[in-house]
Amino acid sequence: MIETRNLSKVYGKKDSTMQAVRDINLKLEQTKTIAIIGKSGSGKSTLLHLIGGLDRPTSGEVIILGRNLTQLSKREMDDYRSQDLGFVFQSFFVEPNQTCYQNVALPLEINRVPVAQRRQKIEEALKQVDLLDKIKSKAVTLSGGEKQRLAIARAIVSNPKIILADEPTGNLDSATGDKVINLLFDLHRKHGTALVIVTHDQDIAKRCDIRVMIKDGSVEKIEGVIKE
Amino acid sequence: MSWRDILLRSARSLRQAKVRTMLTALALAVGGFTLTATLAAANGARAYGAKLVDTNFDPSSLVVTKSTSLLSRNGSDKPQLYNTDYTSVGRNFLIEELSQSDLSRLAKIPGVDSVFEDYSTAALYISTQNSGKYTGSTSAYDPYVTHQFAAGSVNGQLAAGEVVLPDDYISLLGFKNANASIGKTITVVVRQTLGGIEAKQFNVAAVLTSPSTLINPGNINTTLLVNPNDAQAIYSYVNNGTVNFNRYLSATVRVQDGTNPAKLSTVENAIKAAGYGAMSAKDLQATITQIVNVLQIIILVFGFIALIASFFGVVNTQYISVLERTREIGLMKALGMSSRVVSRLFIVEAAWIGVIGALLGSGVAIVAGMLLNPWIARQIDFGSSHLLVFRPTQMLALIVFLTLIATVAGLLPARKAAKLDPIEALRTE
Ligand SMILES: Nc1ncnc2c1ncn2[C@@H]1O[C@H](COP(=O)(O)OP(=O)(O)OP(=O)(O)O)[C@@H](O)[C@H]1O
Ligand SMILES: [Mg+2]
Repeated sequence: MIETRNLSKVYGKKDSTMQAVRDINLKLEQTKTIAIIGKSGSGKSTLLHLIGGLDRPTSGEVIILGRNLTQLSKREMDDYRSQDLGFVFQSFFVEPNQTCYQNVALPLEINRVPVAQRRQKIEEALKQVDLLDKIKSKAVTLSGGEKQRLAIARAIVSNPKIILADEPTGNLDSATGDKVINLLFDLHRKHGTALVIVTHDQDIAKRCDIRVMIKDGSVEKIEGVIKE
Repeated sequence: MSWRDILLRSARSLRQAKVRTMLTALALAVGGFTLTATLAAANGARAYGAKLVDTNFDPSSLVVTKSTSLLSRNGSDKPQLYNTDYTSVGRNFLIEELSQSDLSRLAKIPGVDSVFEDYSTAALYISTQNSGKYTGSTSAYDPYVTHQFAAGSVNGQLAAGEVVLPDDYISLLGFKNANASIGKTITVVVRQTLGGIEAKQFNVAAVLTSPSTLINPGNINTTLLVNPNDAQAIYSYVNNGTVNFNRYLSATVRVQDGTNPAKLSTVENAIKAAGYGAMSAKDLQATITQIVNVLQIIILVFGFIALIASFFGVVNTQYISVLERTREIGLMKALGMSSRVVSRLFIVEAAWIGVIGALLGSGVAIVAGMLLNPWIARQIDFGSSHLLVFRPTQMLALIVFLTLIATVAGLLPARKAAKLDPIEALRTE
């Protein structure tokens, strides 16, 4: 269950404040695919960051996997991100000078996975995104689509319960973007990993079980199955 | 993240900025080099000082002077009350000399084995039948001083009529080599201050390799060592009738069982209590060591100043590194890396720079030392001893110290990295 209660986020201080998220109440099935759509600047990324524990709300609560994020300590929040979530960003954020292996190893290092178990997990993740043959290549040599697939491999290597993707196809042409999106949906089907995708793309949104439309920081409309 | 992963990851980051890392490490290496070289030179100088004292002084003897300090200026520039013990050296220096009564007093101090006067006397010239005439001097042979012989040997005290010849005279006196001179006769000609000239014959008993550690100007030894009685005879012949006869700048007091430090210092204190100046080989060595230590500290201070500069170099480099890798840090934090681990990554990175700098600096110093040592030894006639002496424990301490400095330098930048807000970092496109 992904739940928000009166969630608000205000940026800035005093005179120059900007309310990026306004009083959002959501109750979404955790096992589904969820699209967050809206215009640029509407607050999609901010909402995703709040759900992903990257940011703390100004007011309200986020309850995910039975835990109230607002009550977690810094350390618990780090553990939540490293163990339960996988992140995919618009601009990939892979380390160009490191190999695919090293890029995917990062979450395992953070989670203190024993060295002996790493290779198998990394190979498995790279196989799923069809990059096993590039395991020793530096990320800088990869194409855009391959970089995003590498980022997905890194997101799934720790077997997260939810993948949070912020415009994962934003920097890709439509054909490459389709491949990446198909990959994410495949992972959802195979492993039951929940997907929360922020997107401008109506086609992608339509493929999701639930569509949350955001306007000026508020929920405008929710389409799809909502569990009461 | 485990320490292993932190070490590997930070080393990898450094490899990705090789030039910058090396330049920063190089700055540290300069300080490291200075410190290593200074420590090594001081080690060598102290060892040299010890050897110097060893080869010139009997460890169980004390050098005794009339006044408590060898050259007593005896208060200021005002005219001094005349004292028969004074002899003047130069215009202002007055030196009190030991008289025969002083020597008898010294001999009576408990624990004193014997007292030797300084019979050093300049000869008119030294020659053999088939050589030219060369300047030189005679002095009493001291069997308790460690001598190094190039040829021949001396058992206990030198016999009367025998001489130990410094090797500088071998070719001058027409000998083919040191061995060829053994048993041959040389002539020492001395002139009485008041007139006459006398030639004395000596048989060469041994040839002294003049070690560079001999206290002598220019390292050229012109002192022929003879039996104390012969030395006294020459001394008396030359000085008899002059005001300085039987008055000595210093005397050597041999202490019974003097190799025992406790006994040596008991006698030393007794002599001092009697109003004389006394100095043991150890005291002299301590003085030399102290001079070396002071010089060492002065150079070390310059080394530390160099280190302060490189400290800021490391701070600067690490700040740039943090700024450059804002995205990477943001990502690592977003993926759940704790601030503490992020901080550690950067501290360890700085520590690596310290290790590299220290190894580089001390490594270059050691290699330079190994290459230069033989050359230095030849230039200043150091004999077999080395000027630059490297001690493993010192090197290790220095490497640890430099690493520590670099680590401390990495603290502030690491703090900045740890405090970075992942969202802001991720927003930077
Ligand atoms: N750190 C910040 N300080 C001030 N304002 C901010 C900050 N972060 C975001 N905002 C503002 O909050 C609003 C929502 O931003 P957000 O990034 O969530 O929008 P978005 O829907 O993701 O837009 P886009 O589709 O362009 O990515 C924007 O007006 C943005 O300018
Ligand atoms: Mg956005």
